[in-house]
Amino acid sequence: MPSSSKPQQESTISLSELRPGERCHLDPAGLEGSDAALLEALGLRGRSPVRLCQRGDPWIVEVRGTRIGLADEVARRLQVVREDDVSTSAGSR
Amino acid sequence: MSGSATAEVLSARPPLARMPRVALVGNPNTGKTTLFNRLCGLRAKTANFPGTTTDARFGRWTAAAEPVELVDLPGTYRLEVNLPEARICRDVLAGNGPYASPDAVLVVIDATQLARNLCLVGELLAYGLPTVVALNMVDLARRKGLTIDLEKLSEHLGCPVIPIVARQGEGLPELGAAVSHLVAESSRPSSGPQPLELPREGEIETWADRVLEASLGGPGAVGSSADSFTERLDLAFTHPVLGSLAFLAIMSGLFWTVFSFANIPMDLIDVIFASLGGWLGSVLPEGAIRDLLVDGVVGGIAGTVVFLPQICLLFFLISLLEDTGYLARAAFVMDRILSRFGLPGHSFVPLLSSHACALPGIASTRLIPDRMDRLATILVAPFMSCSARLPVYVLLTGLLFEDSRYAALAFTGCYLLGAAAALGSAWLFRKRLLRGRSRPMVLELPSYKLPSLQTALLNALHQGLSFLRKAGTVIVAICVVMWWLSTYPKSEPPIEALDLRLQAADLRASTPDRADELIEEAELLEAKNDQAGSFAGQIGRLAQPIFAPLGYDWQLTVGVLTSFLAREVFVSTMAVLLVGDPDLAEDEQGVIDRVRDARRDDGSPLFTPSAASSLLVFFVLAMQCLPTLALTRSEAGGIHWAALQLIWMSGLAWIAAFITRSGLLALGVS
Repeated sequence: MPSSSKPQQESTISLSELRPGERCHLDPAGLEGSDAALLEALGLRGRSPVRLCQRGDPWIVEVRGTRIGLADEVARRLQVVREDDVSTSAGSR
Repeated sequence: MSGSATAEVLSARPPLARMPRVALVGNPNTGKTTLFNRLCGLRAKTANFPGTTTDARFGRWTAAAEPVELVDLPGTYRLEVNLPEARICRDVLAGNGPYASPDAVLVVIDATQLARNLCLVGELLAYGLPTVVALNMVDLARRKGLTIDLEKLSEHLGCPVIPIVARQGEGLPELGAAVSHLVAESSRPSSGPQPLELPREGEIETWADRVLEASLGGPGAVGSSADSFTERLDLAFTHPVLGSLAFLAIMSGLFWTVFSFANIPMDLIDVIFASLGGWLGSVLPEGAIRDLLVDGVVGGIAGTVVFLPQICLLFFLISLLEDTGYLARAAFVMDRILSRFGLPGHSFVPLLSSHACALPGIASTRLIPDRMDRLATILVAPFMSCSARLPVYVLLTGLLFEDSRYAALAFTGCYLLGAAAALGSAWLFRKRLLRGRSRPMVLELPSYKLPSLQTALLNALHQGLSFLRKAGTVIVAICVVMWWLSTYPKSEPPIEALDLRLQAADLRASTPDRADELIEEAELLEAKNDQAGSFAGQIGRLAQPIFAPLGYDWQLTVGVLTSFLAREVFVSTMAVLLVGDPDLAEDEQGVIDRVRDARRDDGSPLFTPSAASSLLVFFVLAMQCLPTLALTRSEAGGIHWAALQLIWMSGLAWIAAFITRSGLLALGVS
């Protein structure tokens, strides 16, 4: 169970900076705007584990076993923390 | 379904006075609709949830011994989110406002997507209502090698879990027995099994993971959709080039099928109603009642029902495509273009459908989740050149260009002008009236699977019946009024017609064939005279000053006004007014040749190049379809939307037609 406090080592980046196959956690602070409710309903909510399946428009991510297509604009707005960073920060705790 | 009937179904009533009510809940794409159709079939009714435009479907399900009333709630991923569908579900479950709390809940979950689906189950359990879980698509789960311990899952959730395959009807008797048992127990004080643990607020995913871990050996064991088949198909279907080509091929196939196969039942409907009209005409005594029934009622119903095959076939094919999982990918392909004009990718299917007929196009806007996006699509869909415009395009482009190549170019230009007007209007509406940007696409990409024929058939029938119920009554009433306006008052027969009838009487004994021809000619003259003297004709003369700047005399004005009923009426009106032979409307080239020489009252040519061009532009853009306005009113949720559509489209048509004529006159084209 990940800690709810955000360690300093975690660097937040845009989802669009990931490569296909990379895993990440969502940064809850990145979930803003009118789409937040729909994203949350689809499982893209605070610290949800996400895998990027496909880059481009649409961006395709997998969250809790479900593939979700995201318009380019949404993918660029979503802030995530790479799983490597999460593991590193978890290991240092 | 009327609003009061909806209220009756969804509102609280004394428990003894009604059958038990079961709410059907589930994530989108879990087979909830398929299950509902299986359980209730065509006995289902549709209405809106009070105060919303969201469809509420309810039906009677004979679950085991006792029938229950099944209420199909909108598909929602979660309950505790700020989305309209979630709000409706929460209100129904809690019995808030106009709703009565259900006696039990039947939640449908996808066995291959448990990680996400269990989150909704967790939220539902918190309501404390008797619940049954229908674990759907267990066949797909088996194929994926997933083994689910039903007993452990049931124990953790504290409710029965019934494995089903909704599309094949597997497990439905067991589901019926479980629901029946639960409903019978629900009247007693709670003594049944309880969940081992209820999720705490904000920890629903953690709770779902724990339930999964116990029932399946951990969340990693289930729900990964990362198979290479799906990945490769998604890569192709959403690719900018490959995806667009696939989209074009699939949509071309879809519309070729609709145009090719819908014609057969449409022709049959025409024949049936023509026979019915003929039979009524032969058995009823001559007079106003006969005219009303034959021309007004039967004609009006025929004009509505004739669209039914197109609507049913279109929805059948769209349902098949949706079931395969492809439509979600296609929406992303079109989103790249439409989003520039303030429309989402979801709008493409309605806009494309509108090329056949705006009625199924507007009906299919229900696929669009955002209300503003949906309204913008409804408002602009009739700009797309529907099949009813084709006879008018053929007539006017034929008049304008004797060279068929130029006529074909002008024909294509009409389609492009309509599409450009739709996109431009959408952009403007989103900037001014329906402010806010189009919701960027965020869409679940469901697993690819073989479509269910039964679901598609039921969906097509349901949409067809719904169309008849919602639009039919209004459309028929309007058709009757328009028939009356163009039929009354009856004019005195013209002298020429009386002469012809006298000649026919003289010739009846010697040359009966010639007498019949003369009678026919007399009837046509009377029809032309009646049309000119009818209320519609009088209104035409009255309204002529409005259309004078566009170059139309009273005859063209009558043509424009009568085609307000339906565009294709223009050709038959011209055939009657200018040629005196409505049958010529069937022979397009015949009409073109004959009306080319038609004259105005002052003897000048009627169809000058500038007047014909202006008329063509007017017909591309104007809202001249009462059935569409009736459907806009019901689908958009208010007569003001239909009024806006009428004023905007017809206003734009007038301005564009005026600019066209003025431009041509300025260039020296008469």
